[in-house]
Amino acid sequence: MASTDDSNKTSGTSAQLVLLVNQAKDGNRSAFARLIDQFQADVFRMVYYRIRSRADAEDIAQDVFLKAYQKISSIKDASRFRGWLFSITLNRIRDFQRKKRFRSLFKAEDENMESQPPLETGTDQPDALDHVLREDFWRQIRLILNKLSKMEREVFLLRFFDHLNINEIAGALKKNESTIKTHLYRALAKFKKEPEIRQLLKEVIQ
Amino acid sequence: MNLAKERHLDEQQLIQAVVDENDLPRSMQAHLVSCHQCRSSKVSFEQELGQLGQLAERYSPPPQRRITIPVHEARSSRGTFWNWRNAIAAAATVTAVLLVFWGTTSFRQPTEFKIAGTPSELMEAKRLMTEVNVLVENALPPLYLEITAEYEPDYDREFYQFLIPQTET
Repeated sequence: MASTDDSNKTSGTSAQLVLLVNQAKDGNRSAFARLIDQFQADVFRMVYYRIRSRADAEDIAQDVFLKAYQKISSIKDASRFRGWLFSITLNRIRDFQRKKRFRSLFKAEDENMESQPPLETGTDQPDALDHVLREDFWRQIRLILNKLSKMEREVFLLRFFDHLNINEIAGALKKNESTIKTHLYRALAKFKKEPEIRQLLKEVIQ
Repeated sequence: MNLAKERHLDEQQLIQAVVDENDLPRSMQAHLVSCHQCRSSKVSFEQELGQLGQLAERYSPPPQRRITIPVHEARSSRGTFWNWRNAIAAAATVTAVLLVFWGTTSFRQPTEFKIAGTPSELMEAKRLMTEVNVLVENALPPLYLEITAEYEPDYDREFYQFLIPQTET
């Protein structure tokens, strides 16, 4: 069971995490810096999967940790820090996308980054082949995700891309676990039953 | 147990097992533990989905910029203070705008009053208006008025008859 595996994976570090969160709540900056080290890559990727712009993902990640630092004393249960942090991240992503859509009303530019992800041309693209593979991968992922409803897509991304368990997803989306399971079930049923998605999935994995 | 082994998980139960194995009926959970075929189907589907996540990670750039938290950045306990500061700033801005607006209107009214306020200025204005009215009546200078006979109101109808007699009908 994947969710149990994830729980086991994190259980070893959960006591340390709780300690760090409690220290950060007491105003310990170095404890918060260690939390940043631990979660920066996860938060950055979470944003990048949805925005697909490196610069914007960096900005949003910075904003997320600043917000987390300001509000960390409001966490009641330190063990829920990860879900809480991802909840802030999702809110920031939503804000960004909302502003982007609003700006697109006044500009003749693409209104949805998800439907037309810009490709990054940075130092992380060692060669043209990698660039093409990356472009092709994200194009196919976009096609797959477009087959899912908004909620199915979000739950699926959180479960299999961001590696959150059901409980953490429920916390991040502020829904109960059975709702999350229903959406995940529907998403997976499409993966299993719809030939077009199965074909895309096979192409991506190959 | 043998019966459970014979009844393999159908597609819906397989998906249910991937979502959360604990939600399956106990008999199916037991079957899943013992049946190699069903377990491998489940693991295979999970691996397919898991691979998507791994590829997404592989095809994403790593973060380059280091997250920085300003030294003076307020913690949540100071949040109220910041809110108060923002509120005071907003109130000061509104007051400033009102003062500027009030100042502009109150300064404009005395200026307009001052134009027609002084008695000497009123006299001067009256004199100018009289000159303007005269000019409206007849704008020609006195020399030209003589030529046009506008200065001799004594020339009556009889004199004009003498100059230009009417033809007998």
